[in-house]
Amino acid sequence: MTTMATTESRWTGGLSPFGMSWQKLMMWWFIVTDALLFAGFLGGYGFSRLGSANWPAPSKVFSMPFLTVMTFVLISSSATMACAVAAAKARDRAAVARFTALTLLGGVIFLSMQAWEWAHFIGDGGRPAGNPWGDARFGSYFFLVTGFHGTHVLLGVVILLIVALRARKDRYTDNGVEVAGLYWHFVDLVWVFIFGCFYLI
Amino acid sequence: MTNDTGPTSAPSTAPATPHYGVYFRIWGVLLVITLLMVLTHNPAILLPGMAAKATLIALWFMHLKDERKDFIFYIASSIVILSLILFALMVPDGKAM
Repeated sequence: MTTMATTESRWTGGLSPFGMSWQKLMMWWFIVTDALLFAGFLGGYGFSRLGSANWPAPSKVFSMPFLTVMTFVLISSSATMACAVAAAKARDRAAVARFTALTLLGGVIFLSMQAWEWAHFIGDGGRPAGNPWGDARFGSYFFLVTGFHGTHVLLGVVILLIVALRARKDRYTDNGVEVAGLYWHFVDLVWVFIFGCFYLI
Repeated sequence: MTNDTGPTSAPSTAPATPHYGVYFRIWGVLLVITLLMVLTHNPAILLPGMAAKATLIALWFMHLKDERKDFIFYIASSIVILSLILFALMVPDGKAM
């Protein structure tokens, strides 16, 4: 990397911006745009909620202990993913397979819990266009925000499954694991704001 | 993900044994902050709590702290400036209501 920088002119190509792989740089670009997607959702939600006279108290609608466990599961899966990336950097194939499998398990548990939560919300009368608790937009934002986040988790589970299978066959690259990890951490990071802004405030 | 020609895939910098300890410590801190947020339900805790969690995840889990300074500035400023534009554009709608 440094030898390339010294032997080639900046204009002849072959240099990586910021000294990182193009896959990683493109994942970061994706993360910036995806962060703006959720910033738009949460901004719109905050806008609607501040202007609403009868926004329901989330603690009256959702089970807070259940949501806290969901959050713990996602944070824990993010920690195991960080370990998987560290294991990949250290060329420890067995550890990569073990930690990605754990992360995958966390993702599946989180999705299952979200499915349970949706089932209860719908069972209690929550709809995108109305709900029994108050402002109709409450239901819209619930499905929009948790739906988009859940879809991200689902996609992450698919990516992790591929990484885990590749690790089992010893066909993984540390770069590939790291890029998958960036995506997974970002999904966890978004949940921090959804949990705080939508459920806790 | 099959391409292995990126500069970060050079094996020269791989440590002999990975250090997992730091990730478990960050994990513990994240869990404690989450518990504090849930138990207190106080906006004075919630907002700094969210900011602290996001910072820990971005810097340690996503390894942003190990990237070049110009890259950290590049990513952070993009998100902050574009989000501010996004939120600022909602203000006229609020006034119209």
